[in-house]
Amino acid sequence: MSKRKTGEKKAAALDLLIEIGTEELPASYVGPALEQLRAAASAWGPADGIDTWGTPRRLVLAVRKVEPYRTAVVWGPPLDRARDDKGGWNRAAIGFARSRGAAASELTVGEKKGRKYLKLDVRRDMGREIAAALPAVLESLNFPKSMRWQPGDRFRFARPIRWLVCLLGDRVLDVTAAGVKSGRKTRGHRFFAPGPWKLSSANPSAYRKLLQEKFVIVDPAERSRLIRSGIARRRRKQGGEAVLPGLDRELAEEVSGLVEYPRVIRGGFDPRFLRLPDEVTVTVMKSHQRYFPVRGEDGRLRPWFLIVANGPFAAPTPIRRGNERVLKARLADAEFFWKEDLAVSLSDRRPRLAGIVFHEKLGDYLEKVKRLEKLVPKAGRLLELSPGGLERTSRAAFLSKSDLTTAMVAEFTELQGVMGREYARRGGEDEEVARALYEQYLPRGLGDDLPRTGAGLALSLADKIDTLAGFLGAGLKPSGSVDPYGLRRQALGVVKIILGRSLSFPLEPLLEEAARNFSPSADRARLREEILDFILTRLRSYLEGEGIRSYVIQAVFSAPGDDLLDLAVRARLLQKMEGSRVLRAATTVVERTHNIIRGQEPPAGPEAEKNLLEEAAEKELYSAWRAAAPELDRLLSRRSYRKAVEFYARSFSRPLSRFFAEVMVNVADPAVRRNRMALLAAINRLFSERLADLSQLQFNRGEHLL
Amino acid sequence: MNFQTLITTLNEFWRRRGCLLLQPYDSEVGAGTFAPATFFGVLGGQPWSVVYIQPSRRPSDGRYGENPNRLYQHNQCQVIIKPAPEKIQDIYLQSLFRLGIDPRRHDIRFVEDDWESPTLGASGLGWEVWCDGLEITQFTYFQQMGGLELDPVAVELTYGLERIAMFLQGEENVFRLAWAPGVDYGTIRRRHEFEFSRYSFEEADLDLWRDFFDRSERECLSLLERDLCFPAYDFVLKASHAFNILDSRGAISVSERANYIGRIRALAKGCATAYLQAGERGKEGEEDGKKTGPPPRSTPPVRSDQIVTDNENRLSNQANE
Repeated sequence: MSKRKTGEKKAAALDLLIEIGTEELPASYVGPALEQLRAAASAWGPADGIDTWGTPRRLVLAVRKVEPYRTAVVWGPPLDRARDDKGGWNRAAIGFARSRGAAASELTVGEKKGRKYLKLDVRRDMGREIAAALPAVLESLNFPKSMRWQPGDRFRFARPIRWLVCLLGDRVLDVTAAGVKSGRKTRGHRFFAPGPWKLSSANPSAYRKLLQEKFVIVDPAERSRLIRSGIARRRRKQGGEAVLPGLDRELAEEVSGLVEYPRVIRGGFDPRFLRLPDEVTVTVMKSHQRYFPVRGEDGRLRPWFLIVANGPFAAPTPIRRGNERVLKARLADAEFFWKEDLAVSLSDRRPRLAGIVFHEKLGDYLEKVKRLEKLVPKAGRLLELSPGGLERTSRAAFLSKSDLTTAMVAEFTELQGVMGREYARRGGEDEEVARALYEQYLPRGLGDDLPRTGAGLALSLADKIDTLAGFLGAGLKPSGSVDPYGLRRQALGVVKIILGRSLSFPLEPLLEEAARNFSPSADRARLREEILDFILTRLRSYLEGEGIRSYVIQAVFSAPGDDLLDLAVRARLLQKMEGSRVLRAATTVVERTHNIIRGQEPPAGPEAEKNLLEEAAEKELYSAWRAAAPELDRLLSRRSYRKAVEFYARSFSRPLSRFFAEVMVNVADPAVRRNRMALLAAINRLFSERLADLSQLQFNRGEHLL
Repeated sequence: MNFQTLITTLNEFWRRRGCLLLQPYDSEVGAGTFAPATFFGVLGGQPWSVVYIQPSRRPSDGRYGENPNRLYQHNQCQVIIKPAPEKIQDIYLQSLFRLGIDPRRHDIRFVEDDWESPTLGASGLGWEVWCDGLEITQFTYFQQMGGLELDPVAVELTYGLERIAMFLQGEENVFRLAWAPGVDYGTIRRRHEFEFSRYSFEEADLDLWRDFFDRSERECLSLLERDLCFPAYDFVLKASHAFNILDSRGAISVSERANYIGRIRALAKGCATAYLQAGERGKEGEEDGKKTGPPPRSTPPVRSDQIVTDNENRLSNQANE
């Protein structure tokens, strides 16, 4: 593997190019595979010189400035044990040199930890090392699914590997992997310039240029950009909105994984299909066919669609016609489902939910709906909905899952909720009920809308909490990165709704009601706590995402609470006040009282009594407490937290300092001692049980200076 | 290109490339994959290259002959080649070219499709092949059949003949396809479509089919005990068809469904295992001079260097050797 240094000049840095040519890879596999290649390449060259590109038919790794030879030092025996009697190298020294393929004359001396040792400067041939490592790298690439294709070979890859380019500078590195021998020949577009085409060197720009001439854009980001700009241009030409945010980026990303050379072609469809709900038409276009819709500036769909074809087609007409026929058949299917579905109302569909399993341990969807019907009045009352609102909420719960029995949702599961809303509207349901059927699934992902209507908020919270109660109650808790039922997403949904819509209410009664459906009374409290913990964990990471320090969150969460909004408000305030004098003063009060009562009898002893007070300083502190407690309670109840912090610091800083300067707590008389403890505990609890246990910040002092 | 020319062209194309031209299997199947020529052909190590047309019944897809795109019964052209040749994608694309589909005029794509048949205990990786957005072929490298890992890997090409014909003829209604000059698809098939749709959605006798399923299962198991894997497999097909009919009648609940599928899969696994074991015993039996089952079947391999050359006489030459 390594060779002796021969003393020649340092060789110039070279480009490395590896292209793994495959049969068509799944679009979603390419990105992660390129990440893994990049990681493997970090041992071969400087990180800022590494590029990775990919198309459906190739994974490409280009590394600039690879040192073809590196020098490595190999240490030998200590110098004092390497000489023979005559001052020459002894047998140990010569043996060391020989074991590295070197002559004794190449041995040198170096110093390590103050002692002299023999050493050899050996040359590593990076080309050979890379070639030797590459088969294992290919074998180690992880794909969601992989296959075998060669008789008698256990080698697995996402799809068969058909060629391999492996060049360092202008030299081919000899590699055989998956039965394919490396070479310098790449391929162009499968149909328009198949090749093979010879590469004279590993130069990445020359490689990209050659492939571009052969109708292959190797950089996925560039293809994605080309697709988006091509789509925008076409839409403008049709008088439509150029960019559909969200949809475009996601779809372009996916489509760029399906083509090597994007070409945007416009197709049209019968305007009669515009009578379908927009979501249906758009879903039909994008979900299977990956067509881009066209919207006018008024937001309405236009009877056009955009296809991204793969290749420099001179005459797009046949392609347009073919795609138009396909879309027409699919829209006709959707139209058929729409009409069929409308024939049976959502309430008549409800009994059919009995056949659709929610989860084998949690029964079918009819059972889920019945649980929701019981749960939403509680949620509605906590949200203080009007009597009419409560009624609409109950109606929404009654209809909530009926759309799962429709043909449209059976065909396009992502339309659940959307179809509920649309069929409810057609069925003459109240608009708020219809919207709630859609809003129950919000938010579906990052940056998605939140429910707006009262019924939608109540139903959405109830649905998520019912799901959490069911799965956690059945012991199906997510572990590590495995969350097959998306429970974390459900809990995060609860957090986002409550914070995003500024809903303040105690969560526990709702959790109690949800737990009732899954747990015998003995375990109910435990399940309720488990759900709350699970949701609080999501709240914690959500707040951390806002930039709130984890020790601040910890302090706030130590003060008991099941009102998520209130917890968030307190955490945000303390974070904002971080470093301020007033918060530092309040912290000192909480900490000093905490230090005294820590490890003592539980703070729930008898209250401090006036007649046991002896010293002036403790009398002053006592009166400060009597005077401040009602006002502080009033401020906290009104959630005037900033004022509460200020008031607390102002009320206790001085009397407490004097107390500690003048009064001993640990006196012989147990009654007096207990009385003093009780006073300090009361002052501590005034704050730490209602706002935040600032003593939790103690270990962070100095570092974070709260 | 009319429907019957399409069939003969594909048969001819693959026959010239060394595939045995087989006939459709004479039992109801849901797809060409279920025919014994595929199920047994992909098992074991011997080369196996065949092409056959397989009428395939999907009772729940029937639309009384009213939907221009959906059929109770459609036709597949099924190609199985084991081991999968290195240039199989290119050979396949040539077959499209032969049909008049020029990939520089039409947008041909290989779109990820991981195929799985829980009833057959089969799975594979490959693609749906799209032509201008229309799925015209399933292209699969089989990894498992009857629950057994396959080595060598076989490739399966399943051409959807009605779709390809509609594409070639620019026709939007399957029933207006030209089957032959002057004869359309509807004339040949529409009444079947109507009657079988009515049958499988409305008239099929549920008790009869439930009972038939159970009896087929019993017969299959008892045949397996007697090492008759081909007759046994016939009853896997019958059980599978019974399941499809019951399913289209809406007579199978969600929980029953998994159970039924599991039962069929167990039978299929039994057949696959018995087939390979019989092959093993067959070899030993020859040495002993005893009369047992024959060894697994084999065809000459399709070689990738024969992509373009015409090998019409290759099989007969080899037969003469």
